[in-house]
Amino acid sequence: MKIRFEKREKLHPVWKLLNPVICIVLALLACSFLVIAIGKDPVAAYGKLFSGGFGSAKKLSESILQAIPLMFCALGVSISFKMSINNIGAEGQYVMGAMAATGVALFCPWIPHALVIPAMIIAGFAAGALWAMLAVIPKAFWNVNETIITLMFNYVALLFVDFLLFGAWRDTSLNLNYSPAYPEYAMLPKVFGTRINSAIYIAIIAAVCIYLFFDKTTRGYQIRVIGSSVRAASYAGMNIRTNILIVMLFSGGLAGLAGVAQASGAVGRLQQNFANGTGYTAIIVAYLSKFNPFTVLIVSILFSGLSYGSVATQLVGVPDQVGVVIQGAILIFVLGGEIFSRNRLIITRREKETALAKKGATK
Amino acid sequence: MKVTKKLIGLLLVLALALSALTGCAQTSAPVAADTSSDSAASDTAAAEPTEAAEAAEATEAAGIPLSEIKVGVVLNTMKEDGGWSQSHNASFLAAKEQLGLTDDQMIIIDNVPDTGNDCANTIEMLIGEGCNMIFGTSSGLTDAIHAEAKLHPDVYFHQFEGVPADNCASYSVRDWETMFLLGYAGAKLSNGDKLGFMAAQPQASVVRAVNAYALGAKYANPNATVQVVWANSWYDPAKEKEGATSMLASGINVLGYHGSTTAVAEACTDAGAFMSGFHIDMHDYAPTAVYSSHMWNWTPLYVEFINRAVAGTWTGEMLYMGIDSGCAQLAPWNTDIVSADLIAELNGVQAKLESGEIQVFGGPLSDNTGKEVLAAGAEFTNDQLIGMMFLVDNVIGQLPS
Amino acid sequence: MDWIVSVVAATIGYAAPVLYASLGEIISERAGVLNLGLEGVMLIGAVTGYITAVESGSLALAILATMLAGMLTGLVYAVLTVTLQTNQVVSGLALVTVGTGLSGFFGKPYTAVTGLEGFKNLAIPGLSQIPVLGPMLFKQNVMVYALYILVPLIYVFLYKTRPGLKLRALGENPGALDAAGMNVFGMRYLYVILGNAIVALGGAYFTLAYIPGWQDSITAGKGWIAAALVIFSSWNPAMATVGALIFGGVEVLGLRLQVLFPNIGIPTYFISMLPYVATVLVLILSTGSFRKHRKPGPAALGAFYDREAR
Repeated sequence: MKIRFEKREKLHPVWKLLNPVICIVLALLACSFLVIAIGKDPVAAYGKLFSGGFGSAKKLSESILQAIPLMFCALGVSISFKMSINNIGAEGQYVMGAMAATGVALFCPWIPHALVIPAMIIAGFAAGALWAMLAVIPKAFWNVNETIITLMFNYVALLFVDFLLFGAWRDTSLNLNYSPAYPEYAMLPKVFGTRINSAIYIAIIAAVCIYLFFDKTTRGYQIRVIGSSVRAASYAGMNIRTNILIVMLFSGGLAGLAGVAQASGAVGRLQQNFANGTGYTAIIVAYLSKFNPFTVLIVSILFSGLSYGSVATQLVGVPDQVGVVIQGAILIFVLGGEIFSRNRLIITRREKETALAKKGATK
Repeated sequence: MKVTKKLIGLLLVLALALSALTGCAQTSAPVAADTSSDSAASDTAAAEPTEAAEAAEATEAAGIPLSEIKVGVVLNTMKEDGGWSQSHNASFLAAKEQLGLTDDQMIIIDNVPDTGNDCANTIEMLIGEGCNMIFGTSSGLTDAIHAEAKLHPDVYFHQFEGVPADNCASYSVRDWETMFLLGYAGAKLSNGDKLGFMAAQPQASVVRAVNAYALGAKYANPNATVQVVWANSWYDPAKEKEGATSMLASGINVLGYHGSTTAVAEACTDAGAFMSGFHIDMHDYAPTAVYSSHMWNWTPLYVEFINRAVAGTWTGEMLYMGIDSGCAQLAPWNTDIVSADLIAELNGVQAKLESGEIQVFGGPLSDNTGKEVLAAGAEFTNDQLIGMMFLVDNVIGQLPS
Repeated sequence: MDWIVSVVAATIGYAAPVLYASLGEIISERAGVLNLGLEGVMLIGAVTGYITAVESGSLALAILATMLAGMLTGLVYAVLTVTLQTNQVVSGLALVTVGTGLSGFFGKPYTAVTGLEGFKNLAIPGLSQIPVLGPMLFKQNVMVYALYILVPLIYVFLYKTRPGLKLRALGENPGALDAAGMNVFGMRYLYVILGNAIVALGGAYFTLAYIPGWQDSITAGKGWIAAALVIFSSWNPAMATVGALIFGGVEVLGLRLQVLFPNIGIPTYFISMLPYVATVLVLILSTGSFRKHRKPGPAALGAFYDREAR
């Protein structure tokens, strides 16, 4: 027996819709065996998982709050991945953004209070962008693989922030390595009585801009072309180097905004391990969203709800790590399932196969 | 793309439906509680949140009847972490036992990141489950506990080394008393004047332990110095092991320790050196190396808080307990290492600590750059203790500036 | 001198898990499959090895189980990247996520469970008596000694044998192999599975030899370092050994300097950055396009093999 794939000409719309649904259901099913393996009830666990993340308006709003930095990071990541630049440095860019915002909020008393928030946003964007561009200079100029370098930059950024938090920026009144709390005027306003902060508007505007950029501008078109084939793009006379730097400017800048949103929208100070893996989750979110900015917003909320809901699974005795496993499993199944939307699965019996091979040989 | 959006909308609806379904199913078929490890997790949302809150309000002056107490605990790491959270988890279970609370009356949630929003969200969930006493056991949870305390004036909040407020108490254990004793014993066991200390991160609570260890060593031997090595990570066993090895290789044979891995115990066993354990009795990690351990016992504090809530005498204040109340505990001295004479001597020092004759952080104190940090006869305030950021004069090493 | 010996001995012990992971990844990347999921595979190996050792009491069984678990992750990864033709960077990340979650999930009851003897340092009679080199190289644990055999073995296999030649061709020009009638898919499956078995051993090194014990995320990011080392090494096991030793040396020295020069004045955070900064610099210097004879890696690395597009 042999299995092979054959390219599909056209995909039936129902199948296109069903494919990811089947993948997600399969992922959930696979993970339910984990719960069974430790002798717990998967139905109860999933019940807690979903009701914990989305079970009421309040819980949903908390999940949206949690999703805001994830949205920014995933939007940033999706831009770079669209150009086939594997930016896995969103974590570091996020932290650098938060650091710059904190610097503005706490250590620039000369800025008029009304301008502090805009200044934080600009500083956070700039810091994230700078950190990202620095990491791709080797790629832009000497064609060095960017995947590992962007990753290494994460560790450096985290250690640098630790250096500040354990030293000059430490809030000396606490047994904590946190920066002092932001003043009230450095905090983003909240949305309609929820704890969601107004950075969500920026995220939505960013998503619209990204959509328009890739769909309506020449530069956006260029980047898409480069993403599908660098060679074709350079034949067409496109400047790869400039485009790499521009893409990372926005990719890193958006991740930097995640830091601003989290610091001045939710936490109100800079903390150690501030991003807590959001930059990595963002890559999963971006990929699952097929780099579509609007889908990114929704998948971010879904993933944040999953992570909140996983805390609730502890109420029925299931370790919260199940949430992470489910996130990973969904990615694996959706990744694996993608080929079925592009190809048709063909299974042939061995006799037939040898016959085919013979035919091929005589051809 | 459009399709994906539709799909996710669909999924959301599906998820909601599913959760509603299982929510119903659950009350009819509760899952049996696993009493060994997570007996604290309640399976049924027994108490209606509003009911509990009303009850708390109505009986505030007279206290909450013991049967209506519901304790919610947030641990920042796993409750099996071999250290901090494990000690809290054990203490809560002991307090539950001591007070005769049922399984439903205590929910312990672990592995809650102490940065970001997760803690606030967890507290909301606990209050939703009907908890009327909330405990935050890590300094990192302070902001969230304080913010939630403002939102829920009817719930009693407790924060480890927090800032007391109307409905928020703060608590801590004077671990420096046990660390002083361990330093004293270390100096006596050392083959020279120089001791070592393997420490996680230069955070105030760790700095305090290093200082107390060094002061205890100095009390035993005026020439004693303590070399400190920072792993600069809360959790990196490989680094801790290497840090310990580097001190042992320089000829030091006694190490103090503040951390929660087995790595330093391994290094000491390999080198035939001695060490003090931290968090829990580390004797089993290295029976030939660990001469005793500092152990946390939060039970007296937690019992006290719950009793106060029941009696109606609960107030939002800072509660410190130490070696005298058994909150800071020492594991039994390892008689293979510590001689009977030394034990007798240590018991004498311990008695002086309990009676208050020895004040670990009593003036005069100067730091290792030669600056006086506490004048003779003066005492530190609570805030100064909580935020301690200097190394006493016989510590070799430095803090980030 | 004693100090240098102890630093080198510690460096070898520190470098070993990273080297295991790098070796596994070299095999898989030589076959043309990029696997950034090393961290996840190591964690799965670490937890499997530890649980098996605790439950069975047999370290040999634990090693076997570790390798089987690694092979299983390899099988999953091969199905994804070879058969289902998924994006290899993202698939690797998925493996990290799942590995971290799964190991935490099943490892939870075994956290801080102690009493496992583990692989102890074992002085080899005779060899360990050699002055200087003896105590550096031959007072290590069995998992380090295994590397002394594994590195030359992989090196010889890659560069001196026919199957090794084919393996290298697999990453350079799979189309040619296919045309010669060889099973590209089958070979990729084989090497990804084999590679992951070795990577998993890197995780078990922590739980069975170095610590021993299990705690959540015990590998603390070493898998990512290993992925970087592979590029640094130009996919050569001998160079990977050098790289792992440099990495281990920097980490070990960073800690030792705190003891030697307690008032050095350089914040330890900057010393901790060194391995990462060094990795970036080495990557640029060894693969930058300004080099005349640069070797950017197996030509078909990261691309799935599509027969129809041949």
